[in-house]
Amino acid sequence: MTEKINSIKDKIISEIKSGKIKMRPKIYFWVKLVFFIFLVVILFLVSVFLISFILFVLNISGGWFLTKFGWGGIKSLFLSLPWLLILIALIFVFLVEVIISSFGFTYRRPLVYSLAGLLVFAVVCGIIVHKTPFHQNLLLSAEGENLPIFGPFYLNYSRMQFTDTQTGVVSSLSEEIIEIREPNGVLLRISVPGKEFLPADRKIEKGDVIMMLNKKIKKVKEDSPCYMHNQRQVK
Amino acid sequence: MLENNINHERDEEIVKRVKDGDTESFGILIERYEGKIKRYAKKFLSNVEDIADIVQEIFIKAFTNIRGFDTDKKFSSWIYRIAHNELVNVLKRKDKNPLLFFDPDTFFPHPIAKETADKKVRDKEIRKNLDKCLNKLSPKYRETLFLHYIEELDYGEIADIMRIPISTVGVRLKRGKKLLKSICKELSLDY
Repeated sequence: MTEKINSIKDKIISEIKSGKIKMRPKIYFWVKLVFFIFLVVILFLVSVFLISFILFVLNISGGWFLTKFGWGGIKSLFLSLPWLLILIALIFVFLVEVIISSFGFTYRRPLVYSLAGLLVFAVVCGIIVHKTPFHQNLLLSAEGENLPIFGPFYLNYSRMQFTDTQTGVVSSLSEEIIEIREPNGVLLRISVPGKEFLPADRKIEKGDVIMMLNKKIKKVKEDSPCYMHNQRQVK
Repeated sequence: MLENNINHERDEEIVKRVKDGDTESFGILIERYEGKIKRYAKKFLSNVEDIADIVQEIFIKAFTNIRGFDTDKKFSSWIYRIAHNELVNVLKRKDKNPLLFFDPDTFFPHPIAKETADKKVRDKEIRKNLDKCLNKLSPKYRETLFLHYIEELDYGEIADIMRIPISTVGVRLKRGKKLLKSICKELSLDY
């Protein structure tokens, strides 16, 4: 047994001496570390971009406004959420977690902590990016056909439709019929079954932007991005 | 006198010398860890040739990557980590129910059991029967029990070797001991 142990030691030492086995240079480990950090930063930035973009499209297409319709609106919002984007963003956050879980500060504690922390951090960064004009500027570039690759992506998602809803500018109205022009230019004739379907607190006038969910109508606030975006489209 | 100094020199100090070019000192590290790594490998592999090959491979990898080792950390955890990875790869190749890539136990927190007054006595009893029953356990419990009771590593070191949360080490030890108890009973051994 001792002979075998000695032979392993002697064999390795003789191979080290002959140069068959060499130490990797320190630069190799630095490059590896820099590559890992770079990868983590890139993956994290992609997830922040996606989260902020999801918040932006929900805002610009009037998604958050749906919550004012109560449970019906919340259901419609939930069903219409860009689930593919949400799934991709979560995958990127999970990939960051997988990479950083090889470091002691992550793996020594239950993974749920680092994953939850990472997710919260990504969402907070996403909210901060969403509050900047970053996506608005990119959307303007896309509308002016000055945004290659991402242009169609921005245009498609900014015009997303929510389940059972119609949004548009009131072009004419009577007691029973409201005509609205949708952002894509289509004119819709809506028959109002009764006053209870109209907003009680605000009177609808020609030129207002309204949102309708299952024939229940709400007047969109004039300073909402939805209004601005839709008006730009209509004009 | 010099030999005495070398014998008492910390592993990390020897690594520093190896990094600085005294490559022959790597032999001291091989002498210190060869038996332990061999014992570790034996808990997962039965073929003597396989064990010798893998031990050699572990030390070659350790030497090749020694400049990536942070001497502020423990060398023992680092070399066991290399051994762990090698064994996982060998078991994967042999398709012998390898140590899991993902274990739900690593995901959620678990309370760590407080040490009791009779822990040392109980640990001694466990060590006595461990070798006889350990091979009947699944690799994830076998490895944790081996590192804690045979190699006498603490929870933090085991967490670093297996890259799992410290609380998961506690859970695996607790469950492993329970399983060991039932296996020992089946084999009519005292526990």
